[in-house]
Amino acid sequence: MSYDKRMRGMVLIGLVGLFVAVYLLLYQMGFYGALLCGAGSCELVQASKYARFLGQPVPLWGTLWYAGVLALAFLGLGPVAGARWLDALLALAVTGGLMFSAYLTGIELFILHALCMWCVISAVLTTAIFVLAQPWRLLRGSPPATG
Amino acid sequence: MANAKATGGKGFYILIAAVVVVGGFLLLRAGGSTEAPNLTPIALAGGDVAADMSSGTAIGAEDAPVVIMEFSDFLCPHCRTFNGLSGKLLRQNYANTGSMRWISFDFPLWPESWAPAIAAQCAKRQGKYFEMKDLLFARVDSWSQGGNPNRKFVDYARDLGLDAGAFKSCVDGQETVAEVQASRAYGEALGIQSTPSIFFNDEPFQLTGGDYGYGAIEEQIKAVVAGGE
Repeated sequence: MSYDKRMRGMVLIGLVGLFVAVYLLLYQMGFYGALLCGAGSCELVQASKYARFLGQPVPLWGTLWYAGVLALAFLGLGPVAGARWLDALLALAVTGGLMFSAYLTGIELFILHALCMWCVISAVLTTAIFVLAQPWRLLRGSPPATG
Repeated sequence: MANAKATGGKGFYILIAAVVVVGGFLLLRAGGSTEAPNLTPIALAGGDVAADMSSGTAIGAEDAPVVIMEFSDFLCPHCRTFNGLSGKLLRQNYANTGSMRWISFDFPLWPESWAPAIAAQCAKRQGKYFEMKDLLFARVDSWSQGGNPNRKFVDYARDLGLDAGAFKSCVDGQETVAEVQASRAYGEALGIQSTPSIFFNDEPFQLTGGDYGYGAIEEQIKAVVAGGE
């Protein structure tokens, strides 16, 4: 898959993830009475002490992360596509995001013994972004393919 | 080639616009109506509401025309918001006027919710359940950050003018765990699955609206009182 297509995929997935994160953030801020949670234990997970990281709600970090990845992927569609600094930033962001997502999923599975549907969706989106970004190729400095 | 790319680019931005529109619409929809809040009757799979309310903590006249039962969890963010925006105000404005009797039940949803519920019940032994409840919700960010929260609970008891020694012995010894168990068991028997859950004169209701039900509940109280029911 070309560099351009991968960036486009990241923009679209990042946008969906951004909405998921904003939804959870608004819930934590008290805008919604209850989470729409078809399956799983969203309330339990969101009410847990692990729903905050470094004193801030996890969805806030998620919102910032998705917005950041979205911005970088957008840049990857423009004139700076394939720039070393952009690829390095993307590689760093998606790897960090995947690790944090794995940490949160681990908390859900092994400590809380409860899964939040939205967190699972976000974890899948984060993984998809990681796969699309292919940080191993970005760091290797492969030339951007066009088309 | 250039044309194909331009066409593809156009399609891509249309796709982005579609995601933004759909996402924004869903976010607004999830927020519920911005109009006046209302109480929506809901069906629960539980049993007889009036069976046993003794595990709750009541405030207000026993013969009040309105009885509101509230099931909450101290770690549930919406219980905190509901208590701050509605519960506390309703108790202040209507429990002392004879219009409403309010009964709070502790419904801990997960293991770490039990300690504050036990603490609230320990405060109840000294006649300050609701004061402790308000304090626990107001300071949840402090006591929920890990470790044993009992030391902070004792500080809160001191702030409320309770006998700190008796309170400490109560929370450390988990002396009120049976009360919390009974309260939770009552909620389970009613079929409660989430918090906050509210019953207005034995009818389970879902809270909707921006003020977490204050306006709607107040309206219902006034209607019942005016109707002489």
